[in-house]
Amino acid sequence: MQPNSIVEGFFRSAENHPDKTAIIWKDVQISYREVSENVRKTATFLKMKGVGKGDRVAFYGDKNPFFAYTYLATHLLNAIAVPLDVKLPEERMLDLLQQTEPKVVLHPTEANHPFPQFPFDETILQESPLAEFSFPEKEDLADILFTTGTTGSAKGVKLTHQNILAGAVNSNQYIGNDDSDTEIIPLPLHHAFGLRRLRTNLFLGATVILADGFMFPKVFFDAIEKQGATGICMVPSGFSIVKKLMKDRYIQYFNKLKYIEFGSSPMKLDEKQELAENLPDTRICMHYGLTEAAANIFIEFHEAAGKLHALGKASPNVQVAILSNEGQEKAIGEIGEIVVKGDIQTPGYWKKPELTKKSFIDGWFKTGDLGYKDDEGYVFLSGRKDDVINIGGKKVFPSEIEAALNQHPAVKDSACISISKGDELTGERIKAYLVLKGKEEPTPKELSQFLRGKLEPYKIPQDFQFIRKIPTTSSGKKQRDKLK
Amino acid sequence: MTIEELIKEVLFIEEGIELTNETGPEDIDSWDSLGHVNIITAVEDEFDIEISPEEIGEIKTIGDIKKMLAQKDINPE
Repeated sequence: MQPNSIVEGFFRSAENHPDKTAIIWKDVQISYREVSENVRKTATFLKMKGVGKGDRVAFYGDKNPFFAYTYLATHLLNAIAVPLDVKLPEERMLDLLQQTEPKVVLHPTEANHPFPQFPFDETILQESPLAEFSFPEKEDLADILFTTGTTGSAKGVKLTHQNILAGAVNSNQYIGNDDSDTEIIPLPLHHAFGLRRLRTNLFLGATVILADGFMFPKVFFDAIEKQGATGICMVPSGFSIVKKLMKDRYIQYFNKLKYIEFGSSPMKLDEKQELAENLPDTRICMHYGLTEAAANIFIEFHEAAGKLHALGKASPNVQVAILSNEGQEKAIGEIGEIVVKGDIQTPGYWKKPELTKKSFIDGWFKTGDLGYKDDEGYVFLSGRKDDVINIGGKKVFPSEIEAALNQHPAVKDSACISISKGDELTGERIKAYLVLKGKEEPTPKELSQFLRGKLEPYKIPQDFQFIRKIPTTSSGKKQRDKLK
Repeated sequence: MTIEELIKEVLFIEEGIELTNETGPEDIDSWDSLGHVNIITAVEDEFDIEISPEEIGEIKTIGDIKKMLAQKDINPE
């Protein structure tokens, strides 16, 4: 019988192979027996502090085993985990804490907030573990994850044990990873992608290597060579970093991997093709998803060689549709909102009933992304619903202009935004921010001419500005609103 | 342009924050993996050089960047 929760699955794995390594962190190997013991100690600590069913436990998403202990211990108590970004500014952290009113907050140094706080270190392991705990039910709330979206204020996404279990089961089914795998996790653990990979592997009984980001890729190569890593999860910008820092040397190491999972932001077509070509025996999977509905679409770069500009097809056990604003399903090739349905979908936002109501239509979760489907079921992304620029009633997607601009030989990357001007006949005009490859600076006239053959005239930006870097979130999403 | 000015621009660091030779990723929030690459790319562009994977592996602070440049007989001011 399948377990009802990730934490139940983890304890089964620990029972089945207690001596197997669960976590490798800074070259220290921690067995399933040790992790399960530490989870029970942490649960005991939290219980002594008054944590019970439905209480929130907030803790820093530090990449260390204490995160795993606290996360699973919180679930063991049927409490709700609230992982926090370690880089949260104080004001923002206070907002998240006030929204969730945690019973306990764990962070490495003292912070200025009114909630009971404790150090996030060995202190949590000092109690003798209590023997009896009962596992949560599927419908109980497991996590509140705050989205790192590029617009608006922080939203706490509620996830049940069923949601996070489905996220693990679906992605394992697609990727094909199992308990024999050892996966490198360089992603932040407070973020939906990194956290899903941690849960998924511990649920399966696999081994995870917690790595410190992408800054020093030699760590990955050592993990593959010396620790026998078979998989890695990455964001596209992470791969670009590895490639930039290590040039083609990544190929000889990554070729040994059974799988790579990419996600969180789009990847350039030429990079997808390059990976498929350079890593012929590695399963290269890329998901499209949101915190609210994890990895709901998947694509594998070799299987979909001719469709690499697509997001992919619906993940196992997930339905994906394209709907009009009125909730009617769009015909093949017609652009509408991408909506998803399945056990992965959130029940809504923490203490935001209005937002929750607005986010669903007939049981479908509205992603806010626009796209279309082809006759084979591949889904294509057209843009973000709220990034759409309206030029005299004609809709323009910034991503389309950026794709055209990025083809200019002098342009490395770009971001387009709308500038509202009351006196403009079109209501809005488009401004392009460009990052150059070298020192050659094309004139606005040259850029406009370059775009003329590629875009309709109304899509050509009127303003161009050169900058050093496009602002992005930690997961690599463009933050166009920061340019406004 | 000094290395400090270049890094401030690349990492969108506010005016008034002091950078020293010892400053590294631990000290600046925006000096993450992506920021690291952006710094390296900006240094390559600014001084028209290519930094090898071995040299990149040694860069952990602003002082390391200056040291690497000095080895190439470049003195940014």
